[in-house]
Amino acid sequence: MKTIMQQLETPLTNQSANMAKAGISYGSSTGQVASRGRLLSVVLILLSAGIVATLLPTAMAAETVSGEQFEPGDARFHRLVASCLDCHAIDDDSAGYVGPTLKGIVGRRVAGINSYSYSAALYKKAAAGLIWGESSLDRFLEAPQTMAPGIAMKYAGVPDPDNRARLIAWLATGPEPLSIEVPVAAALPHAPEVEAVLQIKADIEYGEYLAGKCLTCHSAPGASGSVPPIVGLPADYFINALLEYQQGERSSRVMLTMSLPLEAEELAALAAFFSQPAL
Amino acid sequence: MNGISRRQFNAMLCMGTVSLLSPVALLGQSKPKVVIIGGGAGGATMARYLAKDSDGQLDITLVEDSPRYTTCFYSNLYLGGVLDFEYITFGYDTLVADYGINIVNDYAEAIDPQARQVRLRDGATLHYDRLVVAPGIELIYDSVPGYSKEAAELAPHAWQGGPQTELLKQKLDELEDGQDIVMVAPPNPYRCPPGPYERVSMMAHLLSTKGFENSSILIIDVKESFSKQALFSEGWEKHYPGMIEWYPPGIHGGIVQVDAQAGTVETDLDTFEGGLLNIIPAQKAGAIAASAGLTDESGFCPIDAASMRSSLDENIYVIGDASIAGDMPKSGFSANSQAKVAAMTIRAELLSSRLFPASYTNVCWSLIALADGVKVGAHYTPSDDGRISSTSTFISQPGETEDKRMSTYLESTGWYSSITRDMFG
Repeated sequence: MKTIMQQLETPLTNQSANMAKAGISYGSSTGQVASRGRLLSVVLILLSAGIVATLLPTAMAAETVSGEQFEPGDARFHRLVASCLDCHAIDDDSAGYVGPTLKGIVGRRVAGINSYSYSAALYKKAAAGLIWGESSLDRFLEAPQTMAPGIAMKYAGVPDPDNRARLIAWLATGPEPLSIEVPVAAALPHAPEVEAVLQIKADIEYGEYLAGKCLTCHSAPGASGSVPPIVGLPADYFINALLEYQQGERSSRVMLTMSLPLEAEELAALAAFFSQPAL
Repeated sequence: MNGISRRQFNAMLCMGTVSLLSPVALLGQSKPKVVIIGGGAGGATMARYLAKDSDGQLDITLVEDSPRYTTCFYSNLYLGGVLDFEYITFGYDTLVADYGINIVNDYAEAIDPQARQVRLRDGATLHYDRLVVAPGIELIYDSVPGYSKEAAELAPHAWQGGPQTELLKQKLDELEDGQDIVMVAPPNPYRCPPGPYERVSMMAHLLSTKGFENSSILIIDVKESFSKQALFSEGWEKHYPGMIEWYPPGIHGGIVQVDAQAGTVETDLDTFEGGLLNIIPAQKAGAIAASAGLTDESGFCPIDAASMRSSLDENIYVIGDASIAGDMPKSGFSANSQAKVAAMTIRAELLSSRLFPASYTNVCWSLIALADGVKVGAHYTPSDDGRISSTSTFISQPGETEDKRMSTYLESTGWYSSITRDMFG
């Protein structure tokens, strides 16, 4: 049975490309490192799911991936990594993941984790002495089903050789968690209408009730179609985004409808609620 | 533990220097009891929101007959081969382990509103301070002449998630090229207005991917129009030209008889024969609602638009498909939204927490073909006439770009991941 990811590989790539064209501008300082794959993919998807340039006029794309500075337009790569992290841990704790951990994969023999039950196709490769190196990973990632027919991993592959190279370079770092930097409220100049909402004394209890509406679509941890996670968003970012939806500057019919009834007090309440680091 | 050891902490407990007991418990009173009948989009959301927001001060019991819940929403994608059955099936373990909710795996047979008790099939009774009735729908089999619960084993309705969904999938997979599918679509109001037409789309998708060229899908409708009709019609023409035929009553003249054994649907116009019949009959509120006197002549439950409280019993709330929710369609999204308003109201009543104004939302996404998603949605508030009324609405437009449709579909996958987490934790 195909998974959504597999079926949508091509369109997703197109979509990512569109997002990449739009550029990302989420990020400014602090450096918050997500240690678990799941958590990381939250942030990654947030970055890649269309949080785009118009938002924070002075913000820069300052996320770093394994220490390397990335330019705007890396949404596509982030999404690729995030799609790996949907199924694979990058540390020793694979609980809750379908696939084996990616920790130490580069240089490891194929099907090399004794406690994991691999597909027969991979044990065959292992029997032939295959090691995961640059070229074997490149062939594998291009089309897993072609290199290892019958493999359980339901992923169509990464057609772009540059993206494969970047993925392999990232895998070779351990792989290290991608360190993602999030915006800090104080560092950003605010539009007067955002500032006005920020000045309201937020009723966080009301915010919690109102948030129920948002969480119908925004409670999954990240890898969630084109819906970005919103838990932990800085208040100014949140308010600015909602105001832009209300004014039609961001095009989403769903979000236009959801945001329109919100008064300034309600925006403030929601922003205060969602800016808490964890719910 | 920070600063003090567990032993020190225990010692302090013994000396009475700290207390973990809540004021209510100290007074020897038991916690207020909320019983929820039905563990679907309404009931599960209700249980989780009550528990999450009440800090352990409520005793919450969820009565659900089935140990695992298969969402009816998104089940068309399973029929179309896009998703596994497991993807749309959930358990209640997290609600028990992380939220302290009591799950009673039994069927609620009767409600005694005077004694405030629910009687279960096994004879046990549950006392409640507030009761939430979220039983979903009951099918009115004989609304389609010749159809019955027994006939549904041959001609599945699959309008309640679970074994029926799997049965329909099995029959769909067994279909051979050249055999037709005949669907009987239900009258309003029913669960998931665009659902039958999304189902037809996903069936067509499956037949197309199998390379079938000689099978048709015939819809015998009892309505003259249906939800998102322009969008579906356009999409069917585009993706499955010539495969889908829709017959409104103005054309077929009325359904005379369904014969599940023979695989026929006889109408005034003609007798349609299918290798697979999918009969979706008329619907009413789940059986417990009627037996408890919570329904009106429509077969559904009138409610107070500001709280989802039953208009007929002040200690009972009715949410989801069983309720008469004004402009809101019967959908998982609606039930989830209604549950949050009702949960907030129940907490305010039982725990004196704050009461906030009610408002509701709904979005129904449908998949016409892989990556061709459409949607309709709205925001709702209680209006002066006591109904839940839409304040703003939107709907996808014919002729949208493929990117737009793709993005709409991705929105729905995000929604599905989220709402199921919002329900089951």
